[in-house]
Amino acid sequence: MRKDDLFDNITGYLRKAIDTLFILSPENTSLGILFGLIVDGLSEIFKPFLINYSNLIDLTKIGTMRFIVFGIFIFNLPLMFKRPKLPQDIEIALALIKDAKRKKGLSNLQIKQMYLNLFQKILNGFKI
Amino acid sequence: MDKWTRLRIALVGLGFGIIFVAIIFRFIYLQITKNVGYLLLILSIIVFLVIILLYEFSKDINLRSKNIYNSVDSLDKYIIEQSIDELISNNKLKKSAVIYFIMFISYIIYMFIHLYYPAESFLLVTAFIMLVMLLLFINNSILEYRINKGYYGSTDYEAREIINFILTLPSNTDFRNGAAFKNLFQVNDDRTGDLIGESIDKIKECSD
Repeated sequence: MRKDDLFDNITGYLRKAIDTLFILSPENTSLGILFGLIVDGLSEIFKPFLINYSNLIDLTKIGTMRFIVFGIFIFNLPLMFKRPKLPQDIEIALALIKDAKRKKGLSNLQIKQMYLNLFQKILNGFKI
Repeated sequence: MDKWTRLRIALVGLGFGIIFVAIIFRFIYLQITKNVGYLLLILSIIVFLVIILLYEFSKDINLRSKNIYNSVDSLDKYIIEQSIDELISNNKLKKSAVIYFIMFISYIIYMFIHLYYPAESFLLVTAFIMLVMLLLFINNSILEYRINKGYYGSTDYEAREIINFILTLPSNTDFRNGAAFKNLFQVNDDRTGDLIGESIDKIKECSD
């Protein structure tokens, strides 16, 4: 493997990994963190009131990090139901390029050229 | 790497280094006395400064990348190599500026909560917020590196990103000189060639 291709692959996988860590939507994840911290603060403020029901539910035992995780979960839930779906033709074209990359062992530059052709076609509005 | 990039990386690195040292000092301080002290204030001020720095730099990159019109050679290069990459990175940087702002607000809220109701998990939450910002910064740096080196768009993931971006372009970003974009999948416009020719002329006029 060439040196350029190596760096290309490493940085490509890193980007994908970090985006996956943010569950593909950094805004929603950060809003979830904000929500978790606010709920944590509210649970602390209303502690004297909530302590009457402590044998039923004890919010103060949950902890800040669990509130944050809960917030991230809540805010990323809508993304599960509305994933961006590409048209069928584009999906097939992408699958073909991916297949060519895997089986024929083309270099990254050639693969990029194929993707560029695809983008050009989509931009020009032709049916693929 | 130009002067500004180097300065930016150095400053942000310095900020993270100071925070790392401050966290260690805070930890030692907590071991000695279990009170909320001046170190907490210093740490929070440093975190604020780093967040503001990151926010300012993300705006700075936005401004710098607007000079794409000076380097237009051909339409293909303009549309794909320059414009869409720049648009995507601009979009991402704007979003990351918003995220730094949200982190700033959430850290202020957490600081106020912590001042009145001291919690054990203060260091953990601070480290978590810093980690989120560090990851975002790394992500943006990698994106910039890949665009500069010409790697961007060579993986399936990034191809999907670009196609999604093209299909959901904001209505005020106009690639087609007034024609509606989304109908283009069904309607094969005969005037495409003319429109592209006109836009080449316009771009040449702008660059002159």
